[in-house]
Amino acid sequence: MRTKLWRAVAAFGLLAAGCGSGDSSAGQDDTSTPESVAQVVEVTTTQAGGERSSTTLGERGEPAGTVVYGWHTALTPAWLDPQESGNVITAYGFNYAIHDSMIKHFPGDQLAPSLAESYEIADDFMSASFTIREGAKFHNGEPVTADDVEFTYMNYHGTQAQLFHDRLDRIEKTDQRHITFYFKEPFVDFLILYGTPATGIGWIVPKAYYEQVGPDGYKQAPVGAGPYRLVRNTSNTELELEAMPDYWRGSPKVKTIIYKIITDDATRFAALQTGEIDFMNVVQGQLLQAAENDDRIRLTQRSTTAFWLEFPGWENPDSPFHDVRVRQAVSLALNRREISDAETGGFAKIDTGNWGAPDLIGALQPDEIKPEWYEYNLEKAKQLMADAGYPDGFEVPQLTPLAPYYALGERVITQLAQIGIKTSLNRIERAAFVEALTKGPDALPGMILNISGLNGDMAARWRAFATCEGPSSRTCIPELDAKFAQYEASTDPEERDALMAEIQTEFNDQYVFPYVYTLGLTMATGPRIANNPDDIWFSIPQFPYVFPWEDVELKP
Amino acid sequence: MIAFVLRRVGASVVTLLLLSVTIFLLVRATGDPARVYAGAEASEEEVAAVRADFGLDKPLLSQYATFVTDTVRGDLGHSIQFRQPVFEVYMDRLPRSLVLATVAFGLSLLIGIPAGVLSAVRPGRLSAGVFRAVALTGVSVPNFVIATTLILVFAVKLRWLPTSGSGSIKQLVMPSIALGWYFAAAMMRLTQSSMLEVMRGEYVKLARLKGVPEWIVIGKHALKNALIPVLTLAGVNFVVMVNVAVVIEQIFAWPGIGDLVYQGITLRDFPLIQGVVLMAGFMVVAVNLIVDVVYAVLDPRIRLDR
Repeated sequence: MRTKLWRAVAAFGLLAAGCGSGDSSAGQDDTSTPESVAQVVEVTTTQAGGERSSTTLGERGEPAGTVVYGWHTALTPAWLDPQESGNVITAYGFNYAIHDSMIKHFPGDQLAPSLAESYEIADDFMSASFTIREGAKFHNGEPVTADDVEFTYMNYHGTQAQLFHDRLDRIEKTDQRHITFYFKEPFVDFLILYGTPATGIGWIVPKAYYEQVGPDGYKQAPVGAGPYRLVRNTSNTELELEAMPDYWRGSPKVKTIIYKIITDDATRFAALQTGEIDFMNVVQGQLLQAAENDDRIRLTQRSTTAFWLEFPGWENPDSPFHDVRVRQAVSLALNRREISDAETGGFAKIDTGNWGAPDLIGALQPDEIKPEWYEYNLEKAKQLMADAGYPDGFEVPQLTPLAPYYALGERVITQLAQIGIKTSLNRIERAAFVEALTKGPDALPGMILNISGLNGDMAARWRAFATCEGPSSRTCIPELDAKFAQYEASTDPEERDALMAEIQTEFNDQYVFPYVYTLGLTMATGPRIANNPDDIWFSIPQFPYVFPWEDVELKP
Repeated sequence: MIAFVLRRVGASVVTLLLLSVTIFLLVRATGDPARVYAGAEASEEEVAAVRADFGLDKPLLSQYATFVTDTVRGDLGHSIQFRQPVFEVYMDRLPRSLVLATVAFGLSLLIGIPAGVLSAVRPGRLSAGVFRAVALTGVSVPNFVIATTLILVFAVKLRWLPTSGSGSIKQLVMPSIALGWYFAAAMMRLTQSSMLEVMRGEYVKLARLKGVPEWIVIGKHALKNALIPVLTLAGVNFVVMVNVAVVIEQIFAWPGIGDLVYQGITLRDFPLIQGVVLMAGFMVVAVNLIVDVVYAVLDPRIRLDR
């Protein structure tokens, strides 16, 4: 059944309207993670008009002990400042501990009020009102106020900032706990963009402190309103976080969290084996077998988001990728089964076919996926190359994968060599990759092996990566842009639904972003952690890291 | 002696100027620094403002003059990714790299010099063979293999040492072995060839004819002179260990300059790369200057050979 994007958003709106009275917040009664919009709709519709779950976690005692988290990418300080959020979920691996958002997902409770005590989206989508949680504080002891929320919105210059600024008509504050955003036109996507890490605009920073230290100073010593505060940053290679016992949701159970940046996979895994780290991001390749053989290590696997290939500058008639037959040949040359076996022990899905995974709100569902989008047929690929005038293939300057998926990049390169496309791997760190994506088609020439864990919905992802003016887009198809403009302007659920499906189908038929495979992520938990790993990894949609931090617990 | 030192200082200044010109031009050849500084979401106006702020709208010669005066004042620019002055970022990492390099350097000398001496004076002995084998293993086996093997044996299997990180002596052991071992072989080969040459010297033969004990001939007369070229290599090796221990620092998550270089390159942080290259170049020039002066003190023929 097709994903009902608009219904989901509308349901959130209803939900918000319904919880306008009384204290509402994240609940723990339902820890299941909806994996489709249908489920999200079901959850939220059930709750709409009724009471939300319990307010806080209650008395929890003094936080104690230290947990060490082995992080897999280099850290850039910009990731500690939600005001500069890029199109990357990685930063939220830190933000969910240090910062807090007006609205956010909790396990089993989508788009729940967090720093907001309640919120309401107008029926006509022309305004959004928030009541700030009483007693919510930043790490420096200052209360979270309407001034901070306004400043955060107005000063935000991260991804999709222009959209928010263009749509805003005015902000009204009745007092320091009540704020309303008024829009120039119906802003149907506001909630999904404001309330998920699709953007960082809902992640509140303290106005006075931010202005005092400036953007660069803030990145060195961020002050947030999350369950942990940053107390030490050793050369951006190790972060020490200390629990905030008066966090609104309840005191964290662990006193200290250390994020240890260990980019070498084997070293990170060795550190897990020796007990130096308790959580490990990304167990991949040959380490998977070793991890499975170690009974002290608990693995959590989840099929998440999809990898896709991009051909920057493909619109140029001089580009060999201008010919749709070449792009289709690339797709046909990918032996996805072989890739999945090598990279994830066969765990990763190879047939979701679309660059937006089906659990992303608004993405095509399995019954809408055409088998040819993920078909492997080397002979047909070679024939298409010959038909396009490239029987011997051609050279491409480079293929750049998102870090740390270099091994996957090498496999793709090897497979494309079979149809004569010769290229080499360009190895850059994640932050540089994300930044380069924003600089147009020339920043990363050749091919890009991309993936996004960007939260929100398919429209958010489309807006960011595939529209002519998208902040991370290197592609432009005016006809599809026109359809997307129609989508944005529409408040008719059926029309929006149909348009989003049409856009994706037409895009995939042109093989602009050929699907590679669906990432099967494996995360590991060490023996000292008391929680069931499934409760803290992938606990909310499209977020692969540990959350909620305040629930993490050490064994006695 | 003063004239010699002044000549050497002059040559060093010229070398540094050439280095600065090369770096200055290379950075500009890779794209518009203003656009890089301005960031992802910057408009043309913002880029133009950054260009004006950084003086990038001025003639190239004027930009270079500013670049040199800023560098002399210790202003190496602002890191795009770290959002801090490059000099601060560099100095934050430097102490850890100095510690690692010093221990690794000591280790390379401890292995390399005895191995070189023994190989030269007692080529057939078992001890010479063992030393030589140890030293050559360091250069023959890629250092990432050595590093990973050390982790597997001493951290994962024996649990004697931590896998990674910095801050304790235990954390220093494996990275310094992996780093120093590699350089030991080069030290050995140079010591060996230098010793062989020196041992053929007339003064060595004379000492032997006079009945001076062999260990004094080797230790006092030969080794002292044989170490002169070794000193040059040692100086350069030390600078390399401080600034370019990229693989070792990556594997052991050691937050030093090598790790910073890797981040600078993979994060496309041009000001950072520029700063690190400049600092490394300055160190090489400074170390060579010191070595030249020490040479001249040890061997008066060097300062007279002009």
